[in-house]
Amino acid sequence: MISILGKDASTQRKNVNQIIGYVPQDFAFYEELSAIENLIFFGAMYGLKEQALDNRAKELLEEFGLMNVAERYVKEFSGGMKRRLNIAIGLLHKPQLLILDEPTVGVDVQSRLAIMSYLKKINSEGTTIIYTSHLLKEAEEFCSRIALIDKGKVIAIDTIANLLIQNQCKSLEEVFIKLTGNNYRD
Amino acid sequence: MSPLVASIIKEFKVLSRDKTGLLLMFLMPLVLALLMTVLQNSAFKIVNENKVDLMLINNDSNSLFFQNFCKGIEQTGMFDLKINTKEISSKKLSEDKESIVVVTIPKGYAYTLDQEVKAKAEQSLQMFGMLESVSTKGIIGVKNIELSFDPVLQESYRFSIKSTVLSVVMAIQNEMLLKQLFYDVNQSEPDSAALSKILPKPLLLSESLIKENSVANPNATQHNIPAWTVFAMFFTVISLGGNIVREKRSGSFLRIKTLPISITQMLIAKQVVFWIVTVLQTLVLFSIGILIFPMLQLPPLVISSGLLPLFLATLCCGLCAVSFALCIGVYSDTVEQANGFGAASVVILAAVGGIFVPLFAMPEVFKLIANVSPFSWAMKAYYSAILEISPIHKLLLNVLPLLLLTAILQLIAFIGLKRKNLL
Repeated sequence: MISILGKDASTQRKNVNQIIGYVPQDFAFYEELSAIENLIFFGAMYGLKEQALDNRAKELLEEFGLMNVAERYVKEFSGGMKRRLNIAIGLLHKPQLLILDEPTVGVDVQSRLAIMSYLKKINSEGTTIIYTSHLLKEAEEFCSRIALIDKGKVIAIDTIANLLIQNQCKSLEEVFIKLTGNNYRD
Repeated sequence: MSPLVASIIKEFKVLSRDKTGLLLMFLMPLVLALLMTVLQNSAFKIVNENKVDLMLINNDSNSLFFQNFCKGIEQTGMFDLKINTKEISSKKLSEDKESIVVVTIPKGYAYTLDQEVKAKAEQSLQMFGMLESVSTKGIIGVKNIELSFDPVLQESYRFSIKSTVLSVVMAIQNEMLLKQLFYDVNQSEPDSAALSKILPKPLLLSESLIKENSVANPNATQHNIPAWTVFAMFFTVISLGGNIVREKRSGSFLRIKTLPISITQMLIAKQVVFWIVTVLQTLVLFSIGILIFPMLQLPPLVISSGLLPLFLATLCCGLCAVSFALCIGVYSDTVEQANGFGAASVVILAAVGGIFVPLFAMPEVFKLIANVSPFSWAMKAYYSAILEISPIHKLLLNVLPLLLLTAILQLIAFIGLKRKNLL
């Protein structure tokens, strides 16, 4: 049985989905809608009520620096703006568990810093974050526990300190190379 | 706001901002319906209308024969007669777009016919033993009445026109012969009232339709408006099919799978929106047929059975079209695939189903093949709503195959979603 925060994932799917937030690597929103329209739509999907939803959408737009472009169609956004909106949608319902798939791929430095700073903030407030990335330096800075996955299998899982000690390496990148070899992984 | 309502609003917003999609769904069928109605109008007229435009060119004198011929032609009820008493060149004749039959009475025809009748009357009296010798000789090389046809006329139709014109000439000849016999015997003109009494009256034929419940053939408007409406409904595959594929590829489906709602709700919302679009397409095209077509000298669209059967037919056709688009969207991996396969299949099904060439004008084999296309069922449903005052249960029989296909398409889409792990 897979249990997420005490809820059975197979029999209580709706309840589980209510407490998790998922941010895919792709831009999973509607480019023909404005930023605020996207947030309102996905918020309604999470069951948020009108006033609360409106407030939360504005709060996230402000947090991710999108308030001044809230009414603009998303198709006119830059990559960084789209990435920030993608994350904002996953945070609408204040999830207890947030799953992020490479949230900083292809973004400018400012956007990356803003994203990481907000994630650290909500993590310190109690949100558990599962974060996948190829940027191991970023993971090293951000994560408390690391699972290294190679060819779909977890090959190591521990705190960063333990991983470095066990593998006698100075960085997570070294650990990964040591465990997976120098050949291409695709 | 419930998730379903929010999804419907979202779909409407997305659709309203897709200018190309809207043009394809509303403007394209409108242009096609107008264009095809204009092009097919004359052909439909030939097949359906009671009266054939006939031009009569009289190169002879204004004789009694000519007057009787005109009267006889009009009495047949088959022709709209247009008389031209001036000599007319073949070039001018070919430029005459309206008349599809031209009858030319050659110069001196009435005189030669008169001489022929006199000769026949004398020959008859001699045969009856009432006259010893024949004094009048028929004229050798009598000029014939010429019949020219528009090449679009079918052979059977030409034959029918030829027979009708011939029967008019024969009736005049018979009357002339009877008059001549009376004159030859009595040396005086017969009383016209008495003569009309002894002339044989044409035997009346009673007619009825072989199939009691058969539907009359439509005119160009009655065919093209529903035809291109159905085409437009199924062409929503470009928008809806593409929309589904885009969401699958962009990860929206995956994100929606992690939301506390069922993906089915989202698919229902999409279908509801496009279902409403199909109703709007019908509203726009049928309104144009009713209000604008008569202004363009095209036959107006008349809905015989009222709005309820039309609405029911529209709902059923629209649902089937949306289900078809859903299926294409679910099974296509790229937008190009959905658009290419969707458009090609719609054109093929439309051709087979009697959109380009109406079902009634198809050869028997193709009429059978047409039964595989939902377009033909949709057209039958619309024909029964437009052309006849029929009870609802008869219309329901016509839309039953569409509803059945809708259920099958929904099931196929469901299996596809399950297989692709999207549900």
